[in-house]
Amino acid sequence: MAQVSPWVDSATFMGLPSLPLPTELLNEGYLPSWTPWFSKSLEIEPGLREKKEETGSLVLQVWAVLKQLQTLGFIISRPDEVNEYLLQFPDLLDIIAEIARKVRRQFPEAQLLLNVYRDPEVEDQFLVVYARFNNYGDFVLKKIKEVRRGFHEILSRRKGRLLLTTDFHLIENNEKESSSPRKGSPRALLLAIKEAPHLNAEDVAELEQAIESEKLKGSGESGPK
Amino acid sequence: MGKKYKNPPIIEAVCEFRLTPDSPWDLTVPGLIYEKIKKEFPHREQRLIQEIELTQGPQGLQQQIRTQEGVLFFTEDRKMFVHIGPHLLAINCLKPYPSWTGFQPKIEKAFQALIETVEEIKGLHRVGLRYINKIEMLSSPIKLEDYFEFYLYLGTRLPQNVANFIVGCDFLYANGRDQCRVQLKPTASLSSERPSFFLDIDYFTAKPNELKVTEAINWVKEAHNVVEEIFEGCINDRLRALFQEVREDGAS
Repeated sequence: MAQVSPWVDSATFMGLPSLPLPTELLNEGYLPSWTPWFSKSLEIEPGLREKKEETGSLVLQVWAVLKQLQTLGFIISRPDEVNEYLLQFPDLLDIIAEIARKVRRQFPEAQLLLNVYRDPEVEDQFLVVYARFNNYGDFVLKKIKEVRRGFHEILSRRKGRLLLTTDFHLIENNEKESSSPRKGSPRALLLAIKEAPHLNAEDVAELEQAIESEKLKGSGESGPK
Repeated sequence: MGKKYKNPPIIEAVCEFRLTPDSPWDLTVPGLIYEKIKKEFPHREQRLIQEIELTQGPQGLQQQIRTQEGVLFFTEDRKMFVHIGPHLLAINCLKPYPSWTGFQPKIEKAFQALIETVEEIKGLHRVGLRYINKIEMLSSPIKLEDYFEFYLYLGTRLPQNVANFIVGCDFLYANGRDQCRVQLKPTASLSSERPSFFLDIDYFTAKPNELKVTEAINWVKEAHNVVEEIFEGCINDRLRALFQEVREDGAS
């Protein structure tokens, strides 16, 4: 009978409420590629309790969350930046994977990109998830707003910030190109919003407001500098 | 005295003290500790921490999630923080590592604040000193044995194309009271242009209650010596050259 390896990765066990449980991952077909211990044939000695008995590391928790997001299909083109942001604002760690899973569930067809949004003019930064689609109808923005509203309250109690939006680019197959810095820049994003088809003035205003709102939070006491 | 490097690979150092569950603890403890260390760690934040526990029961694999509220006290630059949870105090230090002479006083200060606050600590359930190193190679593919003295060995009859791996070992110290867990694993795909690895060294007390509270700080110093020795034992001169050793005379 196989035992759970003592080398079990922090990604799957360490203190993160939002990480899907191993069996849940299996059911969803998201078996982390490098943690073969959770195979469906896994057997554990009766009564064996696999409990966290290691010195807690923030770096490994962040790494685990990033792996989790990649498993959910999020494209993180500049993981070092996202990693750095989460190290600075670890209060996002217990919710970000849960948010990511909700976003993925709501937008199964979307290409999802996670970046750090930087505004050099005010030295502000926050995490941004861009949902990209092949077809932007009216429903897309409504749904993005709805999903965003769903985690607004929990995010409002955190120092770290995360915005769900779209940059109105079509889904691209080349992951590197699809997340190039040029397209992710604040100026490019605002331009994309203004030029996007199917957007009325109200939608444009609301998207701009969402971004401005994150920037304003950043200029306050609680925001990153 | 360990070697010094111009580009040390340390991305996190953690020193963690867990008290035995019978030690007194209440909700006022974090605030009282904060009062004693707020000069060094002025920024206070709450954080929810959950632990997943797996148990094999009659119904199969069962998962339990326990939520604990933690408090983090950050330094001004947010590169170091004290984490307080129920019966737990940890001091985490992120990159850039300020050297042991910069980290050790913070550990002592925080631990001193703990023992002044919780006057009747019954015992130490576990103490750990952990260093996470991220070692980034300059090119790909690499042979681990060209850089490490602690690596995955594959016999000639086994496939040599490895997608992923993890190498680990628990070394025994102090007649089995302490252990040092060493793990080497890739941070991402081995096929990436510049592969990188976590070299994770966690020295900890393996038996609850065997280390006295009064011995804890000395234990941490000895643990640090072991971690340094293990680190040097895991790498070879090619990696040392990559980290750019700074010699006593100042040359690198």
